[in-house]
Amino acid sequence: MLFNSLHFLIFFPIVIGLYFSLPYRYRWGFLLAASYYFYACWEVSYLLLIIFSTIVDYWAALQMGKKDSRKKRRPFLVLSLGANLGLLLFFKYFNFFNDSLRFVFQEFNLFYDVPALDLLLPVGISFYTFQTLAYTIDVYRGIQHPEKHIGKFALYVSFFPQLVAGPIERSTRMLPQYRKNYDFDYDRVVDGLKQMAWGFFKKLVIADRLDVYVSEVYSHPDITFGWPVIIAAYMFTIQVYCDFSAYSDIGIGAARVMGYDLMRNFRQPFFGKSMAEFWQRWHISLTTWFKDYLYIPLGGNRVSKKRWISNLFIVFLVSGLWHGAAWTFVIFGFLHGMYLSIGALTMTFRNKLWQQLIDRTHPKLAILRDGVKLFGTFHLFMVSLFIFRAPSLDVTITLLKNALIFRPNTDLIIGFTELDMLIAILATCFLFYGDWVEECKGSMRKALTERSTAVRWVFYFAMGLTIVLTGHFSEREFIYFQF
Amino acid sequence: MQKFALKLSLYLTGLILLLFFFRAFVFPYPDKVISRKFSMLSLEKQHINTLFFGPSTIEMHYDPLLYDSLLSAEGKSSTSFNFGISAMVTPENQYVLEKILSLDLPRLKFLLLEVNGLRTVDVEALKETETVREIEMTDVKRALQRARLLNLHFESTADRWEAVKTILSSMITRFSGYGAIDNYVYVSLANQRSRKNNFRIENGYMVRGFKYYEVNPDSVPRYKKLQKYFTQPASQKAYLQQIKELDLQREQAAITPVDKSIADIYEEMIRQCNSKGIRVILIVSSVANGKVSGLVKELQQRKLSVDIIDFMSPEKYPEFYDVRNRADGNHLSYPAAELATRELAKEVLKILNRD
Repeated sequence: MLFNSLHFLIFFPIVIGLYFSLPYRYRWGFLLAASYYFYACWEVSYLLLIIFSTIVDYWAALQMGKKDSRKKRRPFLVLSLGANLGLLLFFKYFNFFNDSLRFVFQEFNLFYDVPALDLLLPVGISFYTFQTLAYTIDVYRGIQHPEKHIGKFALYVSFFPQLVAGPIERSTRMLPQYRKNYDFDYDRVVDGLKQMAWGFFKKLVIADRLDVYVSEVYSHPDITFGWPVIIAAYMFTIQVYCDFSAYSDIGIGAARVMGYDLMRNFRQPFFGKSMAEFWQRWHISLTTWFKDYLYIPLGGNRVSKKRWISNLFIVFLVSGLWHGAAWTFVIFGFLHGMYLSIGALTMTFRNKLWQQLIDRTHPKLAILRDGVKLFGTFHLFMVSLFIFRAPSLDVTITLLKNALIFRPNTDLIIGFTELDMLIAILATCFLFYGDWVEECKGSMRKALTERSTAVRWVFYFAMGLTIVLTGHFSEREFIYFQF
Repeated sequence: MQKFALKLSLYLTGLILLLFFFRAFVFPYPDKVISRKFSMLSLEKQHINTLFFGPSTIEMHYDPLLYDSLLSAEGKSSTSFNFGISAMVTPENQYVLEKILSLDLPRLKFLLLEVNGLRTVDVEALKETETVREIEMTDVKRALQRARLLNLHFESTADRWEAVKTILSSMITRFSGYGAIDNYVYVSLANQRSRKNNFRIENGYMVRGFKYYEVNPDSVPRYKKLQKYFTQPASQKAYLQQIKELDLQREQAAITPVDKSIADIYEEMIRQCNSKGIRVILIVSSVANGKVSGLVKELQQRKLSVDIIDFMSPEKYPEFYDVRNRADGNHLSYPAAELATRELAKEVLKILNRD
């Protein structure tokens, strides 16, 4: 079920109404059923995968809980990792590796006859797999006690607001919340709904509008030249941010309505002044996951410089592959590994340079320094997304070449109208204004509550009207569903 | 919880009222393609005496400039306007026609109305944006008509539920339509551009030279795709097979309940036109499927006071069905549209001279 569908518009109020009407002891069961229904709306059979993961991890964790040393727990961890990663590899990466092998074999004129599998990628498999892996690893490490209530554990795996595209939650945060009882709290419910509305604004008004232009450019790479390609690159950067953070906002808001606090997944990423800072603000739940379960176990930065750099590359290559089974994603990961490595290696030099150029001599120009950093970070990310969006490397190369060819009388507005462009620009400006308020005041919703009732209600009506009148209601999937 | 329910009801009521206000007074028509044509028609309303009206077959097959010149050559004055709208299905066309009639075009005397084979025949078609457009009208009468047609057509409850969901989705989420504001501003932009360029000429193979035609940006890649598909030998083979059986199919076609309910709408449209002194001539375009056959039969049986010009016969009009003259199975190519316009002018002149 998509958040931006009529189905959800009916589903959500019913779930909320019943949730608060039911006695506490039935709520987990109801939420679990609602979550399974939410997921089954895509493909009932793939619900079995979630149930399988749930049972394996529940059992493995219980077994680990009975053992007093890591060594004795290890076989159960291996079992859990094997089962979860096995499913992920099979469903998500089999065709990728198979096609890559076929290509290599064909290059050497060797016979290769392993057929491609006609499989539908289970929606959100990367998200819930990582979430369950975090649980078993935490149990293995002794950070988390094994959950004895299978229903509540199943709810942890499949809680519908964050099931399909995160945030990738930790059991240490969520399992205690499922044990608590939440009453209807006016302020919390309203706050959750406001966050959902902000998410819908980002998804329907900005992301899906920009998608029309971006798709038009990427689906006709041979005939698109110059400015439209460059505009599409900018648009896609904004689109990805709006699309993905919108999902997080709607999910976090929906959970908040029911009383649950999900972790923040985005913190104004385009206010990051370096790629390292950017990744502390973008898809925070995934970044911290990789940090806790891959980067630090590899040694993090407390190793030799060479090893540190290779750790960064490993993490980002895996992160690239996590995003999708294609070489474009591998390159995306490689680029980010490179960005961070170069950033780490040149940090001292850059800091000295800025100090000499601005901090010591022209301290009033610090804003210029920050501006250059923001600009640089945004554009580095944009370049990586240019590759990320393309369906193949050929398309990336064609578009890269075409971006440098400027032809006279090129129509800048492709696929939509001048008004669409105007709305997209105004809405994006408003988005950045919102992010700026969040950056300065911590929370836009909080800043709004400090305003008078009249101002607030005018804002709410304006927001509602903007979404309904200018939103794209074509039920486009969220970009991160494919991951 | 009471406080929440009260405030939420207040907010939703206010929002709905505001939306109604915007829908009714500020941006009254939700489809940008129709709006643009509608606006251009309003600009020219003092001059138009003939209106081509129907779906994409009307839009793509008949050139008003050529038609006017052909009639003028025979001493019949004509200033025509092509109000063909891609995928305009029943009952949307009645809705649009009512809007046009309410403009009170003082010289309008002829309505060349396509006998529209398009209808929402399956759930998949309902999901297509252009087909769903008709339900966006949030017009209760039309919605009920649609519901009636669907009820006649859908046999399983699951199909009905799908249809109801889609209709509700259209009526709720597309309440004012994404194009609402779009129309209002874009119409003026389109008009400026049209005046400057003596009407916009785009996408040559399809519509070049068609007066008042405005390209729907969404349709361009779709038609390109269609045309590409049609150039494949397999598609052409399938098409040739299809048209081989077309004449026979038309003879044997049965009249379905859906045909009857659509014929009701046509009868009503003809009555509405006649009451304004507008003569209706029905056109059956040269498409490669016989879906419209039952409807044509039903209209013929009703003995309405209208002439029917029927181009749907590979035997009678082989040049229309020549694969080289097709953009796809249902549409003629641009050069062949000239043929269709000439043939139409000839048939209309026959009728006028007969009278």
